[in-house]
Amino acid sequence: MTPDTPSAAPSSPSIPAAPLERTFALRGLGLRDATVFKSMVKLLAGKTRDRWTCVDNPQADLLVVFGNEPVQAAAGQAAPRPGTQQVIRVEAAERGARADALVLPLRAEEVCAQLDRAGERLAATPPRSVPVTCRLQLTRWPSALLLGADPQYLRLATVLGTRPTTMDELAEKAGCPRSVCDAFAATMHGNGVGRWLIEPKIAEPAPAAGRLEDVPAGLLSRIRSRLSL
Amino acid sequence: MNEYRILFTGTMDAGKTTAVSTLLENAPITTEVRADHVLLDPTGAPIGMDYGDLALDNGDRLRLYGIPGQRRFDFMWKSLAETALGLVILVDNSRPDPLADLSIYLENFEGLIRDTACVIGIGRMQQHPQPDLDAFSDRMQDHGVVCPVLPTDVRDRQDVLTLVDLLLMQLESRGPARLAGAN
Repeated sequence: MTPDTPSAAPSSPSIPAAPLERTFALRGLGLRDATVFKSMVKLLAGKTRDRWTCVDNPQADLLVVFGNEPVQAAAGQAAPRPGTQQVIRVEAAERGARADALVLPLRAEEVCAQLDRAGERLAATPPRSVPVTCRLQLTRWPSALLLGADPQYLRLATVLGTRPTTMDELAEKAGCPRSVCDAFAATMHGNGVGRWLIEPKIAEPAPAAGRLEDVPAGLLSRIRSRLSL
Repeated sequence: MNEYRILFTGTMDAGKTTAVSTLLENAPITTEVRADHVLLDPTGAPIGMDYGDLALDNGDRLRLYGIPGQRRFDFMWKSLAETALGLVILVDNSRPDPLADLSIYLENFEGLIRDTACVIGIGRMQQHPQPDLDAFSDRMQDHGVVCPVLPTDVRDRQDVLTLVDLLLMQLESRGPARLAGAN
């Protein structure tokens, strides 16, 4: 599964988080420069703020693009992800190069700095457009600081802890407004507790024999009714 | 008439009996001692499991079991776990190593937690704030478990109801494929 990268709302609490798994894709670089860039990223593992993996997917968290190569998808390719995807430009010569671009020949410290800046932007940018089919997965139970005292967040985390869920499903199952779900998702993702899955849902395995498949219709609501829940 | 079970486990004095009793609202609690496996506690008393039941509106019964979770008692809970709806783990934070206690239950009930639902209540946190909830969350992550963990006073009915509510919510969240059309 591929983690996608919408991110934290500006008002989200922030805690020191473990390095996040990020993906990058290369576009328009020559074979030699592409090889050098990927090798540098591997060598920088542990030094960069996040862990970066090269993928052949235009919906990666980060696009590394040579020169003025367009970011739009080429014919027959998936479109770049709208919203929070970051772009680093690589340019051929220092003269006339943009201030925020990497300049050939590549230098490890500059690559490291650019990756860290891209990671910071990914973590700080609120999600603008999470495709409705994207599902959020909790990678661990959130810290007390992230959950706060909001009982809605406790319910949302409980639902998400069961299995990855789209925001629409989450709103329905937890009985919370979609806006609350979006803010919750941004907080979880921005603090490394949740990750977006952009791949289609895969059919779940059959439940273990003798367990949940035996729960008849209405049982849970009867229990709730009996306990006045 | 069908019978369904929710299991409460935890160390001695973690509050299993109190939690069950709190939910039953003064209904009698029965202590069952398995005649084929009589064990004695440190005082020499037979160790059993507490249970009480609630009648549902269609005549089915919901049984609430308070069971010891140590592996030497696995003969008690293995058969109960087969048709359990879920597990409530109660941890006593005043004990010497509550995180190790939690690990024991996460290991011993691994299959039940994976296949059904689980919620963890940490008791006596006001007097013993450490380890905190985040430490328990870290330990759960070590075991690959993502489920609610929250401070719980088992004498407070609302606290215990919250545990059960979150347990049911997990079952509901699994969807119709796993719940066979429940609700």
